[in-house]
Amino acid sequence: MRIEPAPPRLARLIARWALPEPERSEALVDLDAEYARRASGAGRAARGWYWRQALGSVPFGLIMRRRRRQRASGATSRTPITWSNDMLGDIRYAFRLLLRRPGFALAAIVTLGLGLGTTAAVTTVVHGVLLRPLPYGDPDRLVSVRETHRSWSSRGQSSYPDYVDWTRATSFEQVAGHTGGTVTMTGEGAAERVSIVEVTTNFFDALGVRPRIGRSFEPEDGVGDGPSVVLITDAFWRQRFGADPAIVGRTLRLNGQPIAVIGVLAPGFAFPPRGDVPIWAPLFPSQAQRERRYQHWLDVIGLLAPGVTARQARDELAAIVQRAGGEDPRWHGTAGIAIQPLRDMMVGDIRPALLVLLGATVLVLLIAVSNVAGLLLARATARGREFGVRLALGATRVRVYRQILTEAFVIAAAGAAAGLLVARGMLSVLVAGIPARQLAAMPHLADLSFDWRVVGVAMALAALAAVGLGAAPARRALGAGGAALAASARGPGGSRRDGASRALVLAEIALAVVLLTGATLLARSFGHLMSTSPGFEPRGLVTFRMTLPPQPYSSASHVTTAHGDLLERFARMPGVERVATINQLPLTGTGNTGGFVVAGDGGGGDRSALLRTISDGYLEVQDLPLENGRAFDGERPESPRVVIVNRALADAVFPQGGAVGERIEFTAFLPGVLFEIVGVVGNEQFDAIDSAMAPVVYFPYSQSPERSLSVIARTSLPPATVLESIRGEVQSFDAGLPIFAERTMASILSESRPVFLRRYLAFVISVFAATTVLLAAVGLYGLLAGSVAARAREIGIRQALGATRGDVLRMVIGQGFRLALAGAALGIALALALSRFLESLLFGVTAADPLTFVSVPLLLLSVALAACWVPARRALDVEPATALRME
Amino acid sequence: MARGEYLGEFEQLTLLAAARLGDDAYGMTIRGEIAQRTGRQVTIGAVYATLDRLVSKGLLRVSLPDPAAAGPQARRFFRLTRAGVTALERARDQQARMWSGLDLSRILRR
Repeated sequence: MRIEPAPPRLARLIARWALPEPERSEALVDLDAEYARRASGAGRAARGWYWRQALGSVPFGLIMRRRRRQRASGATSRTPITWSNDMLGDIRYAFRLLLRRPGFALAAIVTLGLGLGTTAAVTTVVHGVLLRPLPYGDPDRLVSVRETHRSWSSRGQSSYPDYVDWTRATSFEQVAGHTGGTVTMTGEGAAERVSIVEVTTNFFDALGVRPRIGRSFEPEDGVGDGPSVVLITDAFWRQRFGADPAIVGRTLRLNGQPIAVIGVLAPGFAFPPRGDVPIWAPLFPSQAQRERRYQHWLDVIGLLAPGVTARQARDELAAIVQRAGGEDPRWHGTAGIAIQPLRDMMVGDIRPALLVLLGATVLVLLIAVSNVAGLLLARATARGREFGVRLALGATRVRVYRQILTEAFVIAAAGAAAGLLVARGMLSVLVAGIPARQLAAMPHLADLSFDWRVVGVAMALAALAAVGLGAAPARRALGAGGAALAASARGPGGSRRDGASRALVLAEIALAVVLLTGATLLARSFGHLMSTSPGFEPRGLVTFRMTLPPQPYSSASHVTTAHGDLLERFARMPGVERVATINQLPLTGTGNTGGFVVAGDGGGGDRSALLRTISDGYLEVQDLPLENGRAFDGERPESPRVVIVNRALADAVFPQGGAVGERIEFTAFLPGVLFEIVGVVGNEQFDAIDSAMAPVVYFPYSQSPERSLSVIARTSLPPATVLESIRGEVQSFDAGLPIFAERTMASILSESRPVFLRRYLAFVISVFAATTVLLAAVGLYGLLAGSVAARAREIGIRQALGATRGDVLRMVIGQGFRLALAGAALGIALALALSRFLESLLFGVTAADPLTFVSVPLLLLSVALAACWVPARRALDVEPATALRME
Repeated sequence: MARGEYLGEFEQLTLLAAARLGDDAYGMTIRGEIAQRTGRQVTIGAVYATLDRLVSKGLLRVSLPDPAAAGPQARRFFRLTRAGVTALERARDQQARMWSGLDLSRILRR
């Protein structure tokens, strides 16, 4: 049997709701049949037809119900006055009025929809990121545990021996470690470099997460020479194994070893600090990592024991660290512990940005509501005569009041419906603006979907708005009361009629100034950030990572030779101007730091610096100026060890100059080995672009070769082209060598959090600000236009009595401009009070930036002037004779 | 027409459609008949509301559906009463008298 096309669901619901029985069952059957007949031709037309039938039947359904009730109660033609009857009548009347003035209705509904929709969308984002519980067993007890140091900057990672000590702490039910890595995956197609996370075997127990298929890690999985089992994510399972239900026991070839898959993690599983990583393996620290307390590499999370506070846990761990300090004072003498909720660690730096966004949204909503209130007020004034007549004819005040509130409610409901559409669209735009890298690092954002609770919030806001919107016009209409009738006969007077309207427009202008100020401050910060030099030119730099595996590159000399050969091949490629390697790229904020002392500087104290290993030619690729001494040039592995330092280090450690020739010792990890400083180079930024330049020590690759490194090439060709030919070059060198993490330096910079956050906020809030400036201008225009219309007679009299065109212009513009001035002044005061909440997001400007605080009000005043101009021109067109005849 | 009421325009169209359809006059066919002949967009709700009114005025009679039947067989058919026929005839006669001898083109020419 052919399946009949189903009519639109919502329309069918409306039709069902609209009609009473017995018409309902008949109509639905027949409508569906007719729809099926029409849909077999042109489907879209049939949908439109069905919608018209459903919506068009609504009023008739109401009429039928009412008539039948009357018949049943034996009433004749007079309607007994009941609440529900009046309600329906009011609603129908409100609809009719709105349809008669579609421009007004559209303006009110669109404005309200924008305000409510924006609020709903931003609330969804804020709720998802800041408030929704993390998808773990007991998120409130999950904390991150970080080791802090007074003497050098640290990312808070701990050493393995420290971690082992902490697992004995009684404040925690579980203490677990995790660290990131990459492995080469072979099997199907070319060798592939994939990210993995290595975790202690209790990691998933600490999170309270169970795999959807198979089992989690057991303590035995962490025993032996290396991992023999892995867990994979749901996405990887689907993509790589076609969602094979018999996945448990299948193997992956990782670093040449067959590794068994023991389970698949749940579809919703995510651990944002590690990003989107497909393979999770048990942790196997190297022998050195197991022994060395000074190697800090492990990220630690803990599940607090029930009833234990973060402070208690911190005190216990700090005591443990102090005890370890007795054994190893070089590191632990200055160590401390920081414990914070896991969520705070994940969203710490986004929180202020989101709160600013939320604050901006509230302002948008306020302006939207004031604007609609202004529209309703103007209408209530215009309809003063109608209300006056109704009151005079015996309508009760309650009745008129209810009529006005019903109208406001109808507008609010329509606004809420429009708001839902706006929210849906805005939500996807808000999320689409976030780069994938940032998305993966924030909880919930990637799978953020429309939340029906937010719809509830929008509805509640709409109801509130309705009451607020209706109240003022209602008071005005009733306050005018009988007087309105008399007054309206002469045309509305101009004295106290628009006190409330003026207050609303003034508030709108003030709020627009606040938003525009915020947007300007953020935009200026972004501009400063973009013009901040990282010490090198990021454009034209292409980067990728590669790892030389132990097979076949078994010894240090194999590695060094392969490194040299590869660099030579890259340098010969067309389009590659210069090429070099470094162990950790600039602007990525990852990599080692190390403590050192200056030889012969008895008790000069610990210093610390970022440690980077570079190939010859790196300084040329980055174009770092050599300020003193020499660059690396074919240093031999066995010759005396040399380093280059940057300007920041030279200034901090050798303030009187003369760094070249000095020797330094890394007491913690290479005691007894002296490194001679042979050169000083300009600073480059390794951390986020908004941080201060840190001291750096560069080692020559030939003296400390590493298997894992970043290649960085300066090119004039499109990055994709260069990367394509580099991939081919690497394949021809060794088909088993994968290259990965291909990125341009420009994208590393633009997708980094400080840049992205400010660009994003500056953009979103600028859009908000533009909207509100427009709304405020429209509000001002509406107020003045109404006022000019109302005062036509007065203006006519003035002109008749000899006022010049200039006088009239001045009067109207002056009226609007005074209001704008007051609003701008209030806005400046508000912005000054509020802008300090932006402080953590500003860069290169102060929260009270004079340029911003002068230019924004000026801009707004000129917009206000433009908004005054049209009504003022209209005032000039008033014919004194006509105006006087209105009497 | 006991109370001297007159037919509204849509009431007239509905009665005419019911008359044309004879034994096959129910909500949807009446809607279709009017829509097709006049080219007007007519919603089913409007038709039902009018049918309801015409029945209460006694101009239409409803055949009660077969209680045993379900689905489309359960629908109610409408048939003109004597009063309904009279009302239509009266409406037509009134119109005819109003039209007789009238030449609209003369108005425009003036």
